[in-house]
Amino acid sequence: MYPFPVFIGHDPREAVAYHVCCESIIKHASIPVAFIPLSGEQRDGSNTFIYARFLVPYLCGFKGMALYLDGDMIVRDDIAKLVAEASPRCGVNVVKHDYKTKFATKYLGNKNEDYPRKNWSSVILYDCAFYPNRVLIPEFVAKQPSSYLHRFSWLADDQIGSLPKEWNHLTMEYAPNPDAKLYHYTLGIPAFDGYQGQEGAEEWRKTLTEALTPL
Amino acid sequence: MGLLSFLFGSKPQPPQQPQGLLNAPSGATTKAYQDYAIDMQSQGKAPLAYADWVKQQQPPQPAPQK
Repeated sequence: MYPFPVFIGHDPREAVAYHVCCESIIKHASIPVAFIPLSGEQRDGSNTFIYARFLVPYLCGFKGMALYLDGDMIVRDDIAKLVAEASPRCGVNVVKHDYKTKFATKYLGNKNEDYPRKNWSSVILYDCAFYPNRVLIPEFVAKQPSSYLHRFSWLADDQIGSLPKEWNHLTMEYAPNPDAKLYHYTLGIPAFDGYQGQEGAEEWRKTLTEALTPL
Repeated sequence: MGLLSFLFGSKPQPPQQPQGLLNAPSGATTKAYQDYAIDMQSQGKAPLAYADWVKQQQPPQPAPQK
């Protein structure tokens, strides 16, 4: 057995999010995991890893399974259970959200627009060896618009598997769910003013404290 | 046991190969799709998914002989 690769978006403007996310995974994981921070050139006024996430199969040598997560999350259950949810013969498995945002802006004043398949690409369980994923090389990804990438347009619809919704619970957008397995603070992590009272904020701060405090 | 075997367990497996036309000349097919997708984007059109594009490249089946 080798460590399961978990790629996590790292934005220097909120590096603490990456570390809290890692800590939450370690806390519950029953399998060895390997964390790989992902960053990159900032485009389109969004985070710095908006395109790098699509290079996960390439970075894995187009072999095995791998998970991509935005950093602004905490995982509340065993990551092995998420991996077990993967549908066979799919290039990716994602939570297929169907919602319109309630908020026109998010953290640091970033615009928060609606678009098809919004937030599908914030948790991506890749089958890196799935053949169509081989088109995702750096030169190609760099030339594709975000719409093509974030809608997984290189895959046919039946090659995009579905994960249960609780594995990408959008706080503030969805009704509270204490049983969610992953809290996604999509509008802003609880470190930012205005987002400190949202669902799961206390748990995020507790995870941060645990990571910082020795026994 | 070598270091790589220790780290990665059994010997590396060859890449998973799809069936049919998706199979053969792998590098050439993906490169042709990439060129197609970039060209479609430059024309403001939405490219097909890889698998759908490969199906479109298949030559028509010959009519069965009587």
